[in-house]
Amino acid sequence: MIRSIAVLAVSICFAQGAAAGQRTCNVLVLYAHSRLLPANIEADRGLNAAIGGSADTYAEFLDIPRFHGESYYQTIVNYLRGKYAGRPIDVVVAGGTEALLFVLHQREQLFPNAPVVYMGVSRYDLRGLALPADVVGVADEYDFAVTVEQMLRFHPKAKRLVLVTGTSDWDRAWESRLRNEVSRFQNRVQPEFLSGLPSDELLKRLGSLGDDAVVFTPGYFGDGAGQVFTPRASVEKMAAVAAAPIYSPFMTFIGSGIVGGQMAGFEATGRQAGEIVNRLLRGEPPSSLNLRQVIPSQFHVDWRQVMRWGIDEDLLPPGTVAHFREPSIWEMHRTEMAVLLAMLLAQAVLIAGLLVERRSRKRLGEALQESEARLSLSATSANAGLWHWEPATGHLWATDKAREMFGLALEENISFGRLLAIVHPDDRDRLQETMQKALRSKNDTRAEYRILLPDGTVRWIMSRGRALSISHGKQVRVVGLSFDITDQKVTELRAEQDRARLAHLERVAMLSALSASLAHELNQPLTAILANAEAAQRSVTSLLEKPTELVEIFGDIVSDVRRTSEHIRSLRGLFKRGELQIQSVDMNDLINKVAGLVASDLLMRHVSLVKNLASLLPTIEGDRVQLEQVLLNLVVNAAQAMETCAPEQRRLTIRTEAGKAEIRVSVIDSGEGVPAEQLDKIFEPFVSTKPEGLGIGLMICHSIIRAHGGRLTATNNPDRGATFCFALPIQA
Amino acid sequence: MIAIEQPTVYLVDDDPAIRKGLSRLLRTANWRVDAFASCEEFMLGHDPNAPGCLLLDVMLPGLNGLELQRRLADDGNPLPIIFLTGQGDIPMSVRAIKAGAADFLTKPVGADTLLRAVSDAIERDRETRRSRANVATIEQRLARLTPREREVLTHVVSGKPNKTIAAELGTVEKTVKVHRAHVMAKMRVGSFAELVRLAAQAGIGSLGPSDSVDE
Repeated sequence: MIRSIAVLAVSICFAQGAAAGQRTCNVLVLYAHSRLLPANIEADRGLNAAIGGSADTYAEFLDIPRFHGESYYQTIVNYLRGKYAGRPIDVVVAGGTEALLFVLHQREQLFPNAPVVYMGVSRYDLRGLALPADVVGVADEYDFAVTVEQMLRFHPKAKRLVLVTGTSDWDRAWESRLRNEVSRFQNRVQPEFLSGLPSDELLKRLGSLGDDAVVFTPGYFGDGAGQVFTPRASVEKMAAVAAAPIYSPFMTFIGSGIVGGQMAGFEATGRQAGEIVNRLLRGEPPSSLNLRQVIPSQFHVDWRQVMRWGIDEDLLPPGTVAHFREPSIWEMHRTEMAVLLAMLLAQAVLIAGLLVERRSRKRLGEALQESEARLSLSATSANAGLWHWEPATGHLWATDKAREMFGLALEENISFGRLLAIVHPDDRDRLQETMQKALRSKNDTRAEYRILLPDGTVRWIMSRGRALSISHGKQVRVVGLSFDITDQKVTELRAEQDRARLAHLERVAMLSALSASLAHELNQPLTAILANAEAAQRSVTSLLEKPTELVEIFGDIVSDVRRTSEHIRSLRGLFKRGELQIQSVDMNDLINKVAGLVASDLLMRHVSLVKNLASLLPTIEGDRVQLEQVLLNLVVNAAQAMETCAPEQRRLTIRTEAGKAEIRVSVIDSGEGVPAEQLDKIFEPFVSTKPEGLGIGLMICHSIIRAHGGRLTATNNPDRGATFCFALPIQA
Repeated sequence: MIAIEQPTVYLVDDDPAIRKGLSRLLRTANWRVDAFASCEEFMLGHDPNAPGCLLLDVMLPGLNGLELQRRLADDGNPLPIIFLTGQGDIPMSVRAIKAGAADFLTKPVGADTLLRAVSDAIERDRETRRSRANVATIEQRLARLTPREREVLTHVVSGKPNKTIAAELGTVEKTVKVHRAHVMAKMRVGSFAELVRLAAQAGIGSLGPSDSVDE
């Protein structure tokens, strides 16, 4: 109390802007770690949002654990004293436990009168500290126990709880805390610590975990080989290879491949600290702030990981925040759907009631009409066309909105056939097939297709339908909704076209680089054809007496002409800037084609090609040309990557493997591998390891594979060289 | 050894269709053809004394065409080489020609061009082998000369009169005449002009300037 009065006596600042003779308040934020740590960036954002313009905020970064030790701390003290000599600091904010410890130890030398607000400090770390009255803040609660409880619910098969920590002081503090807390779960799950391993070793271990394991990690700053990371980067590496789901205590890790955890956002932490700073600056004494105990936390998940690990959605605790979840059309139109379903139900009840009452037909008809009108009205207001179809009678009923959508007159008597005639010829068979399948399986069905309106415009329609049994199961009725999704489709298509255009440019550039060897492939059969034809021409008279030889010559010519035209056809496909054509593709067949195209190039580069192809590889759905481009690009890259090694070591392997739901194609070289610092960003544009590379080839490959619903990854091999692997979903 | 066998066109190409087609075409011109799928196969089955020419694809798996050319040159094998390439690669053809290639043809090659190149190369091979055989004969005869006769021959072919030779060798003109007659007989020539031609083929020319200055 005495001290805070003294503070006021020494210097008075004004939190709401300075008038003449008054100065603005200065807030110094000391962060424990480096400026680019995601947690710091988020906390800073929250802090600045809360403080706004009411004070000048300065940020300093202690950059622990890259720098530490007594002499370093003394250097920082001297630096801060010198730097802020002319700017009296009114409040010091300590971000992170190490920063708080630093301030507690050094504040007598630094800013003895400024109150301290801490943030990003866990309650666990505060336990042993006796804080002076003017050191205040709200602790974070990394609720390990809640997270582990959830992990065990999500993964009932889990028998091993793997905990990963590192070697820095921060990492060790986490390790001892986890060792302490994990004991509670010992009789339910076997805790295993992977602490302070070199990253390579750690990643190998994580990659070989079975489905009886789950992983918890706060990430680490330092590994057993002395390498320094940010915890998020360390987790990202783990998540890329781990064969078990990973959970963490920090929000900033969401998106790096972890499933989630019970977490407090750093932005909320920053905002909370900012609010305390504001109150201190307004003159509230630190002791009377009446702060809550901890920053509230929630369960956060990365929805893609939830899907990946097959976690039952119903097991997520209430209030879970799901990141990266793309709402389905149903979810986007939830309200409208609810209205429509309610109306359908009301209609059914009404009809049933009327039937039971056996009132007059007239009454029934009127009620039906009324009901239909109501239903139609609500559907129209939801911008949806509503219809039902009875395949047995061929009768098709549709709301006015649906008729308008399909360009049908309001009075017109319509049938399914009439509707099909409006559907774009290219989509007609597919739609019909979908409908047949829905009728057979009685499942909900969904179709996207184009319709051709009488004035020639094309619209995209999305219809959803459900087959219902009527007349005691003897007949089927399909009830459904249609939405016009043209705008959405146009946007998608435009993006697709841009991508296709870029892909084409890159493809042509790549082919012209290969032109010498492509010409060679064409000249080979032409040479044989010309030689055979001229041989026949020169000795035609003698050959007429030997018809079998003549027939043989012609046979050779024909087979070489076929070879040439085959080659030209595949080249034309690659040169063409065609529309995306989705068809069923046999990857092994495609690999053999591409191998034929690059055979001469590989020969010139002294590269030997090994094809390691899985027999009975399932087909996938995709655009042949684009997939050929991806493969061609990866193969040419691999061949170029081996330029610096001895010819007998230049070995290129193409491998295919079939998984349950996907196939994997790997292109493996024996070159020098990708420099570690480029491995993460190799699929970004203009990143190239080759001096002459434009750097868009891999980016295009990446986007092609993504557009096919797959993923492309690059890893360095344990011995030498790199592996580029893409996985594509097997068609249903 | 003088080769008297019929010349052979050796063909090396990794493409079986090309081996078959070109062999067929070459046989219509009555050449004997021996085809190989790789340079290694050719090296194994080839007799360096056999006359002919080599029709060689540049781009081959394993040892490539240019490398085979270098090996043959290192072995002193005179077999003329006609290169066949799928691409008009100028730097490559320059290298091949500089290294003594007889010709450099681009695929696909017409019959006229190919057959002319082959007969030229085989003619060249015949020439080389014949002149090699000549030199061998001349050298055999030269070997039978005494050191003194060899000395006289060197002076004679440089066009010096007997008198000058005698003075330079520190002897009399008559002795020089006797040596000269022996040389003519051992070299089996009837005229001075013929002697000069043989000496030139064996690389014995006029006296170097240093010899004259010494006098």
